[in-house]
Amino acid sequence: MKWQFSSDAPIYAQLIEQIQRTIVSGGWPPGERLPSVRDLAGEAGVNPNTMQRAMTELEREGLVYSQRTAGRFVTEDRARIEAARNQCAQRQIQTFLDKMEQLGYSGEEILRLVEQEMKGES
Amino acid sequence: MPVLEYKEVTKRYGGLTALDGVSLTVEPGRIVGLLGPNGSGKTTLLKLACGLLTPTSGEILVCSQAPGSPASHAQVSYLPERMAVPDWMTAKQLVHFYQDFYGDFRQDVAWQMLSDLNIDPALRVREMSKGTREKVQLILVMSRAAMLYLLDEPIGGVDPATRDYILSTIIANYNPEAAVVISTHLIADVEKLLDQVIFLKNGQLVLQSEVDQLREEKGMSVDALFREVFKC
Amino acid sequence: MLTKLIKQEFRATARVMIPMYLVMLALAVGARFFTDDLGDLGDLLKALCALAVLACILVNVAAMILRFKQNLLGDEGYLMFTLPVTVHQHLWAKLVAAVAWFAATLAMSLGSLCILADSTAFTIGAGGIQVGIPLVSVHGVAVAFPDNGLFLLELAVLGFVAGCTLCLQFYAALAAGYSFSSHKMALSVVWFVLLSLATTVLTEVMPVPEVEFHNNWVATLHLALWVISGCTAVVGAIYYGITVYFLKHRLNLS
Repeated sequence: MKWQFSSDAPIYAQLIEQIQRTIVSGGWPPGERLPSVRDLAGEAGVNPNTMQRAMTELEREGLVYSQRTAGRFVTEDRARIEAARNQCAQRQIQTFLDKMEQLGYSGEEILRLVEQEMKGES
Repeated sequence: MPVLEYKEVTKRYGGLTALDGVSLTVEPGRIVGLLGPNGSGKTTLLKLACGLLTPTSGEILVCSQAPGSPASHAQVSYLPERMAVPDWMTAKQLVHFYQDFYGDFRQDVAWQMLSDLNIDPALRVREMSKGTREKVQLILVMSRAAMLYLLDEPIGGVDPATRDYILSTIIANYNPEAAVVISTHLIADVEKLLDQVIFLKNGQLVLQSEVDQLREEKGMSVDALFREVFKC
Repeated sequence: MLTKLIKQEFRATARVMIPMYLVMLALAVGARFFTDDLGDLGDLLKALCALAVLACILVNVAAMILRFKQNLLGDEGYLMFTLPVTVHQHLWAKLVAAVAWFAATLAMSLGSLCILADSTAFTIGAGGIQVGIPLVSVHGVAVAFPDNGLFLLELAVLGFVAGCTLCLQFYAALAAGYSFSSHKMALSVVWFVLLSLATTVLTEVMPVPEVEFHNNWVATLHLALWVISGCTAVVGAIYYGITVYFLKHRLNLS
């Protein structure tokens, strides 16, 4: 998995977002065992405390769970993953819409442009 | 219990004030960046914690002990900003030297790192390039399982690839009981690694804060914030 | 830890001392065997060689002082003073190594001078040694020295104490001078002069036990040797205290 960080947002928030994206896109399938916090931190080049904090947050959201001895796993609750996936999608769409709005497009115009673009591609 | 504690520490060299009433604490498990422009007192701060300098006033505690005592040296692994190892010794002799004196030295770790960085153990320090010398010294320091690592400009003179290796070594060595203090002006490179940053300006503590908190509050990287605080 | 420090100390200093001994021997052997045909010029060369051999003793003292300054007060001090050892251990490692080298240099100089001396001068020059060696080894002379073992011990103690005190005066001056923020070397010289003056005054006022001349001159000699050792040790102990104080409480590595 490739890690990339922008300079303005907190590191732990960026970690959460990137791990979420990996899980919902199937990069880490349901039930998969995750590498240790230290290994993940080393791979991403971030402080282990920060990685731990991100994991704790993901556990709270229910995307991953830890078993005391066996380690940490991706949830097997597919509905939960699907919900997270939808959330991601909504966030992306919202960002897109905000930007289009800044460019002065109305809702209808945006829809038409998107349809055109999709047809062009297929 | 803090691993490192400064209480109102002032250090003057003749008429020059290098540190002016600095108070700060470093808790175990933290990786702390000590940031500031040249001459802001970073090196002085670290040397005081090793007992290499005597404070003009104030008190310093290292693992609850006075700096400079053999008991505190046994727990602190210090990387000075200059070459301190005798230049006639080979890398191999230095590994044995550290093994002799430090009970927490991990020889296997040292050999591994020397081979990872392609350093010939039979080479004398005198015969090494500047970058290689810095690497050897850092390898010796990081091969100890200390309670407190004080690293003065650990990545200043090495190439970016080695820099990445060294930073990942620091993470791999991470121990929740121990703390690491890294003094540097290459903030962008170490920023992701840090829990906390300390800004020093003209010998005074400007700021001690959590990195993520800073990014959240200010909406900018520590690097950008540094440029703003220390704008010339 | 002390033995480890001493080991390291010998390893570091041997790099200078062993080559110096080899040069000394080569010089002596060369001068002895290759100048015989040169007449007066040969004698001059021999005299110069003898001077060079004697100069080695000075070089030895200088090397020990430089070693202290470089290893503890220079850049290497950053490494040495962060080792988990005490200041006392640092000092003793330096002293033991220095005195051992002094003894070795003395032996090497005498050996070289013996080699250097030509047949006539040899008998005169080495005569002292030829007399000296039986003094301690041949039982026949033991009539003059009934307990020459004790005598040797006393000389060894005096040599050790004097060697340490010589080093410690320089160590104390350097440790004091280098505790300042600037003009470290100049202040070391000032301290050295002050220490010398203070020592002169001290020896004037020190209540030195009078050594009365007994009919038994052997006993007198023994007593005198112990008194000299004792007084030197007192001076050395003061220098030691000063050195430890500055290294422990006033360290200021630049």
